[in-house]
Amino acid sequence: MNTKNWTDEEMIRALRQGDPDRRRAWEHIYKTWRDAWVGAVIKCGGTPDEADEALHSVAMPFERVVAAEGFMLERAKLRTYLVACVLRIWARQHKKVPSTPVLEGPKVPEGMIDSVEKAVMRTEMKAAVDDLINVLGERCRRVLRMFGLNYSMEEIAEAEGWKDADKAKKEKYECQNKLKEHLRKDPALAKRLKELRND
Amino acid sequence: MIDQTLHDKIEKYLLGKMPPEEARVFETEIQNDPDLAEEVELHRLILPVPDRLAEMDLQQDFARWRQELEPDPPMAQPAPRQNPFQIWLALTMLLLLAGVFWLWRHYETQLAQERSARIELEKTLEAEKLRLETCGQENRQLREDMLEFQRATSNVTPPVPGRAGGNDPIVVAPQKPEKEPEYVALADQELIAYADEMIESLRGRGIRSGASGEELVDKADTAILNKKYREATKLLALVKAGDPMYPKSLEMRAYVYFKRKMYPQAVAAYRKYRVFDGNTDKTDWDLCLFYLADYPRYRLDFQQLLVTITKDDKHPRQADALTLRDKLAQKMIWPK
Repeated sequence: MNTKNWTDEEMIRALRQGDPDRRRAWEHIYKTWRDAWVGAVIKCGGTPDEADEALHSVAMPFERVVAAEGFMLERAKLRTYLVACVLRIWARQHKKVPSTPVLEGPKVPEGMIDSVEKAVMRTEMKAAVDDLINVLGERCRRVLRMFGLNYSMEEIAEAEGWKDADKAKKEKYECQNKLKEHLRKDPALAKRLKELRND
Repeated sequence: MIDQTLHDKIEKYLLGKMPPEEARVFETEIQNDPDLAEEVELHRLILPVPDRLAEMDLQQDFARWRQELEPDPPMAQPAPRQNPFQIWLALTMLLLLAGVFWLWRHYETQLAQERSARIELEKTLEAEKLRLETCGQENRQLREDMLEFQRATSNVTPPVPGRAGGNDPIVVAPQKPEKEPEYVALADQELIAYADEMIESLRGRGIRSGASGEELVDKADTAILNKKYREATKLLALVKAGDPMYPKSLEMRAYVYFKRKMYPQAVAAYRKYRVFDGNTDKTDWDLCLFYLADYPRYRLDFQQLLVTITKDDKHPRQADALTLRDKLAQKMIWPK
């Protein structure tokens, strides 16, 4: 159990630094703040499972916004921001009217929530991307996941036990080419992904 | 397949990491090269893959942390360890209960059997009682019929004796029976009830003890039934004074003497019997009847006793006594 008392600044810094600090920050967020987003969703008529489902969708876009250079919360707390984002996505997923008044403390600017909401992958898009991921082996998945988490090529090489960044770079290139080749062979999936992206 | 350099260039462009001037030049190249444009488009389609993989990775972490947060499902409660003493106690209680149940069933069955046997016995007794009553009624009827018959035969006119023609058979006139005084007939009529009661109490006395007196009395009863009064007298005389059946023998002897027209002996026997019978109302009336049988001899005793009964409003035989007095008055025996 991560017992450290995190400040918002420490949390943001950890998310920017990447793993393992990033993972520890998320553990703290999940274990100490969960009651907040689950409680908010329940107050609006949802369930704990629905609240967690919304968090799954919000987590990566939220992390990218928070970890971006220049991110700063003026009055609201990071926790309030995350809960507001979870509540917004839950309302969108379940076609409910978001009830932000259930949140305590200073209100989070709507624009900040919008920026997260825009980056949240829709369910249909997730399904299509999952179809594409199915062609990858475990190694490719690990490499591309680390790439998605902003690992450097050196870090990926080190994690995988390769001699240098070039090897990691080459592996990443081959994995991505594998995906492209699949889309060439499956134009229907390519078309679906294109349509969902443009929605 | 494009080479790795172009691949990296496309990715740099799509992720916004290419300097603006270089990006503009590259966009021109894309517009002029359909193959490159297709390659860029394909690369754009695979861009969500790393994010989705990172999201899936984080979801696994969330699932694990949620499990850590939620309390473990309650372990199945181990069965409480049975104390051997408790097991023995339970077994003992079970056996005791079974025993009590068995006893209850046993006695319940026995009780039911006894109940049904008792009901059966009561039914038999009832039937026997009914049969005895019927027999008694038949006996009374028979005695009355016999009495009627005796009267009828005593009133028949005897034919004239002598020869009635050469071929006529000789008719022997029957000896005219001595006419019985009217008071004797009245006494006889009233003593029918006495005889019935005497015989009924004798036959319905239940279990016999087997004593000699009982046997003699039973034989005397049979003799009376067959009108063998002399034999009955002999049998009853054999019953000794200390015998339990002695009082009954006296009661019977009084009746037998009466039937044999030995009225003083009948009165004497009944007077002896009275000592053993506490029912003075009954014995007064019966003695009165025995006096009546020998009216000339016991007239005074009879009259005194009959007056006593007729004046006693609570006497059970008062009505009978009054009727008897009236009958005697009609026959000029009793002064009107």
